[in-house]
Amino acid sequence: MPSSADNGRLSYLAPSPEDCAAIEATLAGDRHAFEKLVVKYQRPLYAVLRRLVRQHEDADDLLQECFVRAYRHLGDFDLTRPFYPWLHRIAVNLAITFLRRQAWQRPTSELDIFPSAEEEPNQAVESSEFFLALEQAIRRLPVEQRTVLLLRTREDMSYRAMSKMLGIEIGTVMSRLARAREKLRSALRPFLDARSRKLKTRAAPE
Amino acid sequence: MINKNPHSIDCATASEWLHSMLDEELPEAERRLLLAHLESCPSCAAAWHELKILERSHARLDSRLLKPPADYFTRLPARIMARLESEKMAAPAILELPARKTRVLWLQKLAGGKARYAVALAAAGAAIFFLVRGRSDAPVTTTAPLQNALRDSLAFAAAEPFRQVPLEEQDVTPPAIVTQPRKEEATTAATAASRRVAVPAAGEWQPGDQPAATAPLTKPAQSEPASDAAIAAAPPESSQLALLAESAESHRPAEKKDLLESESREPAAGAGLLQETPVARSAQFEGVGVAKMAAPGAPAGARSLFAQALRQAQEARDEATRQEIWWRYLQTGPDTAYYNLAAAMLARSLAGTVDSTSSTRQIEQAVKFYRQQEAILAPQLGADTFRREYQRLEGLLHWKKANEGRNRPQ
Repeated sequence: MPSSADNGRLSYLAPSPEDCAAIEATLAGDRHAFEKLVVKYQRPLYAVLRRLVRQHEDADDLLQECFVRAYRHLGDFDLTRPFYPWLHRIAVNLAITFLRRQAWQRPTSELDIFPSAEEEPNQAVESSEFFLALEQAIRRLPVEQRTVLLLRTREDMSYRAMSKMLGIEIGTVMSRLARAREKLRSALRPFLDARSRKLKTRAAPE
Repeated sequence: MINKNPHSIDCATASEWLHSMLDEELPEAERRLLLAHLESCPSCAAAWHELKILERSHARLDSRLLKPPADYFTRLPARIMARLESEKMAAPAILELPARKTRVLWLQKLAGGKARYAVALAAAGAAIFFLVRGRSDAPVTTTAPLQNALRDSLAFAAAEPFRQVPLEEQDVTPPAIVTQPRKEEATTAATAASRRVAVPAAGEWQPGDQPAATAPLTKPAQSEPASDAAIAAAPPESSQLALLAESAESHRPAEKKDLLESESREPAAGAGLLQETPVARSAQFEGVGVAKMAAPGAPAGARSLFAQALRQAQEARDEATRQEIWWRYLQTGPDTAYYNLAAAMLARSLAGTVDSTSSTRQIEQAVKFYRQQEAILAPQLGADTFRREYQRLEGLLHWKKANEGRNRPQ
C-alpha cells in the first residue's frame, strides 16, 4: 500500500510487478484487471482529493474522474515507473482545475464548511471556532494563493514540485505562499492574540 | 533592528525567510542566521510562533475531514467499473495521427508569405480563446497572472504574432475567420494555404469526409457525465463558443477585422461583444446543440466540428484530455479548415506537458507530431519557438532512451 506521493520530497515508490501485470492485462482488454488497481489506490487518492477539495461529494466526483482518466490514458503510462505517482499527478491536476473553476463558479457557502456531526464529535467549542475561522480564511484566499498553500500544507509538496506542476517560478510559489500565510495570520489575529495572552499568563502568572 | 553583526539579517529578510524555514526549504546557513535573529527580535519570534500555530492547525484541520461515508471504498470500484462499462470505453490505446505525405522545410516556408496566413490564423485562434476565456474566467484572471490564464486556456502565445504582423498589412483576410458556408467555397483560404504548405496525397482527405467525422467528436461529449455537468454549470461559456464559431463564419469581414484588432490590443475587452443574447440564454448546451448553433442550416462541417472540439477542449479538466481532443480533431484530416489552428493548440499543449516525467511513448509521440507537422507548426508557433521546442523534445527523447537503457537490468 503506498503511503507517500510523488511530492518532490519523498522518493518515488518502486515500480510494482503486480501493478505492471494489472496494467498490461487492462491494456490487453481485461477490464477487470483495472479494478484491482482501483481497489489498491482508491484510499490514498481519496485522501489527497479530500484534503484539497474538502467536500466528500467533490472528492468522490474527482476520484472517479481520476480513475476514468487513468484508464483512458493507460496506454501512455510508462511501465518502468511506479504507478502511484502517476495517479497522484492526475488527481492533483484534477483538484487544481477544480479549485480554479470553483473560484468563479460557486460562491463560497458558509454552511458547508461546518464539520458534520460524524466527522467532528468531540471538539471543544473554542477550538472549533478557531478551526472554522481558519477554514473560512483559507477559502477566502485568492485562488492562486490558496492553491499553493493547499499543495504545500496538505500535500507536502516542495517548492520545486509546485513550481513544476503549476508552471510558475519558484519565487512566485514562495511569494504566493508568504502572502497567503500573512493573510491567514491577520484574519485569525483575534484567536492568535487570545492564545498568546493565555500562554503568557500561564508562563508568568502575576 | 540595528544590525551589529555584519552577517545578521533585518526583519524584512527574516519575515521572508520564516516561510522557507517553515517549509523546510531554507538552506542551513540562512537558517542559522534566521534563528539568531529570532533570538534577539521578539516581534519576528512572535510571527514565527504564529506561523507555526497556523501551519499545525491547518495540518490538523485535515485529519478531521478525511473519512468518507461508511462503505464508500467497498462500493467505489464497482461504481467505477460500471462507469467505464456504461461509457462503452474501448480498451485504452494511443491515438495515431494520419501521416502527412509531404514535408516542407519550415525555413522555406517562412521565407514565403505563407507565414502570414498562419500568423493570422494563430491570431484568430487566440482571439477566440481570449473571447471565450476572458469572460468565464474573469474573477480569476483579474488576480491571476496572465501566464496562468494562458496556460489554463490553451491559448497559445498570441501577443507576439499580433505585433509582428499587424492586420492592416495582411494581403488576405485571415482565412479561418472567413470560412464560407457555401459548398463550392468550402475549401477555405486556410485549407488552400495548408494545401500549399503540405499537400496531402490525392484522395486521402476529401472535404466530404468532414460530416462523417463529426460522430467521434460528438459521442464522448454526450456520454461523459462529468463534462455534461460542466456544461450545465457554465452555460454562458458554451454558448459563447457557439456564437464565436458563428461569428467566425460571418460574411462581414470588415466587422471581423475590427473585432480582431480590438482583441489584439485588449483581449478581455472584446468579450463584451459577444455577451448575453437570447440565443445564448436559451441554447441547448450539448455537443449537437452547439454544432447546430455554430452552423445553422449548414451541414455539419468544419466549423461545427471545430466549435465542438474547442468547447470540449475548453471544458477539459486537464491537458491530457485537451490533447486527446485535439488529436482526435486532427484525425479528421488536413482538409479541415481549422487544421492548422488545432495543430498549433496541440503543439502548445504538448510543449507545456511533455517533460522528463513523461513516458517514452508520450515523448516519442510528441516528437513525431512535431516532425510531421513541421510545415504547419513552424509558421504557427514562430520558427524560433518551433525549433527550440522540437529540439527540446528530441533531446528529451534521447535522454529518456539513454536513461532507460541504464536503468534496465540488461
